[in-house]
Amino acid sequence: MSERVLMKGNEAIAEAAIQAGCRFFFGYPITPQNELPEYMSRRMPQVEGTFLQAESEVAAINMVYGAAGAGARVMTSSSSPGISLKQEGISYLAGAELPAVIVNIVRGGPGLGSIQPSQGAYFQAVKGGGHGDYRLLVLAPANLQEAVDLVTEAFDLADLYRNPVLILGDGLLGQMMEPVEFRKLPSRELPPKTWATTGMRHHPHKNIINSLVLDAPGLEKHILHLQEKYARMNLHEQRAKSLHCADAEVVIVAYGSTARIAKTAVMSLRQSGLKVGLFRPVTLWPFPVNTLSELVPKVKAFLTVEMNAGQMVEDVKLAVNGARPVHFYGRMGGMVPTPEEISSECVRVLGGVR
Amino acid sequence: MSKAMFKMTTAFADVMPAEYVELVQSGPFGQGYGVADLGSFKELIEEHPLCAGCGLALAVRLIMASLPTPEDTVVVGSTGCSSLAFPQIALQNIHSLFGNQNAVASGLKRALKLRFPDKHKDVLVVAGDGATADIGLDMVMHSWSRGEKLATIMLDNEAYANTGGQESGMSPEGCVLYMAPTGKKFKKIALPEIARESGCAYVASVTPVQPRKLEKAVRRAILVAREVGPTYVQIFVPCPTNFKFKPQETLAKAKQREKDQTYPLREFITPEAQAYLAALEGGGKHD
Repeated sequence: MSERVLMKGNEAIAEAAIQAGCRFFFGYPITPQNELPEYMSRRMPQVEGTFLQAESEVAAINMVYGAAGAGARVMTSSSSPGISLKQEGISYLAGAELPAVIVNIVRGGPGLGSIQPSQGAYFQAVKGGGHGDYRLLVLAPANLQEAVDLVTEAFDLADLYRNPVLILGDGLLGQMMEPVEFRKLPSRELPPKTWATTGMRHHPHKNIINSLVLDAPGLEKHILHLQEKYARMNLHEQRAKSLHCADAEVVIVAYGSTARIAKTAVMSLRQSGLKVGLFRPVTLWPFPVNTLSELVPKVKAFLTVEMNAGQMVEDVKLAVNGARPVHFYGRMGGMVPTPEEISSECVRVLGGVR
Repeated sequence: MSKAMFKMTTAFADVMPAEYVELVQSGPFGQGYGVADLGSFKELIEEHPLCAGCGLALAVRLIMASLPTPEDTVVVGSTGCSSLAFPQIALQNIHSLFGNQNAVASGLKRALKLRFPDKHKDVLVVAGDGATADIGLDMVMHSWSRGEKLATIMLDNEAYANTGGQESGMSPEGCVLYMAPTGKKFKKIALPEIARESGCAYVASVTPVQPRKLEKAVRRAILVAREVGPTYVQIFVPCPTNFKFKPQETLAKAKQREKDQTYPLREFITPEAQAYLAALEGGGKHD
């Protein structure tokens, strides 16, 4: 498939996973991501894969744990409250170093919240969510083509690092339609899965998938090994996109759907002659500290825009490290900011820096 | 909650909402009304956001008219279509995590028992098939095994209706739904039998086709849960939206399933519950 096709976000992510060689999907209904497992239920049998609707999110994530243990490319998807239920399993996947791709089409919270788009799951995605010293690779697409490309990338990264990868979308990306192309991306050299529990016939060494290490020195050693792996991810995997940042006085920092809206604001402010740029993290963990901190000496202030009460702004502040003011504008609970709101907030910040 | 709470302070009577005044003056609190009285009193549910022809909405209306003492009833609900209706019902209600309703109800019932040792406080769990038989089955079964004095009612529309119509454990085998494009691959979960084997003192499966039968099952479930042990009522509530039939066909669908035995009506009563009900029903207050 190389021609451009018009698809819904949830379905495009599902097809991208199939194209990336994912043959196992374990899902459970929750709005606004239902089209993803529904697509998988139709598509998986055509490629001799397995689709299973579990009895709960907890069951689904543990089915992922099992399939990942067999060395398969496996995916699950959910939306915020469902991801909260999966957190225990995600922590275990990270502890046992199992590769898997998890999709969160975020909706408003806390609790059952709403079914409208939100970015209220940023902390949960990048700061843990589950227990223990673990990290997920967190990818945040801003359009459907990027989502499709990042799905392939997510499976490769998961296999490369033996680590779960989270794709953080939102209800807007999940429900919108855009033309996408399923293109072949340059393939990576991936290590063979000699650790998989496939029986002694295949791997005569003792393979154990486990996250329990009862002796303290042993667990510390395991956590240090994980930290070394996270340090490698941090070194190699930071990604971000910039727009009009070279001469910007104020740089908007936004990810996902919000970044698209911010882009419209930047374009209209530029037409009015205002020097505004956009910095868009593509990886939320590792946070693109390196490229963001390069901007610090050049700009006068940052404005973080999110669909939450202020979560990524903490990472922006850490990256800027007090050298410049970091402002925040957010909408919550399923409310989506308009380009005009972002523009006027930008003008307010610009007024302050002049 | 006592009946005294439903009296208005005279000075405020003129500023109270009309619905509230109606509820105080002609509601079911302390009246002992049943489904036969529908149309002659102010019902606990006035309006709801559910679909035209919704079998679940009809069942909720009938359940609300079947409560032995609505003034001492707290409903624990779960996520799903029914959770959209409960905020419209003039009863106290707890909504929690999807599937956790029987755990929440266990805590609530025990606390109410301690706080009101001399009163019957009925804790009624009303949830859908996904909440009861899928994601919440562990907590449902353990509440039964522990002998929690709860009445659990499942509104069985045989699908995840609120998320657009995916299969549930209660969908019939072969049923084509979202996430089951070639038909469901395993049988409908036999929850009435599971309930019986897990320690429920009273188990019934009914449909809204016969309102008096539904009323009897709900009343028996609540009364048995007061003194004897956990109870379970499963109500078939056809869903026109997700099963693509006309709103006016809801009852016909239920009737057909009763007739062709694909939704068998049953009632299991333990000897202890039987003796308790005989003593109560002999008194003749309800039924």
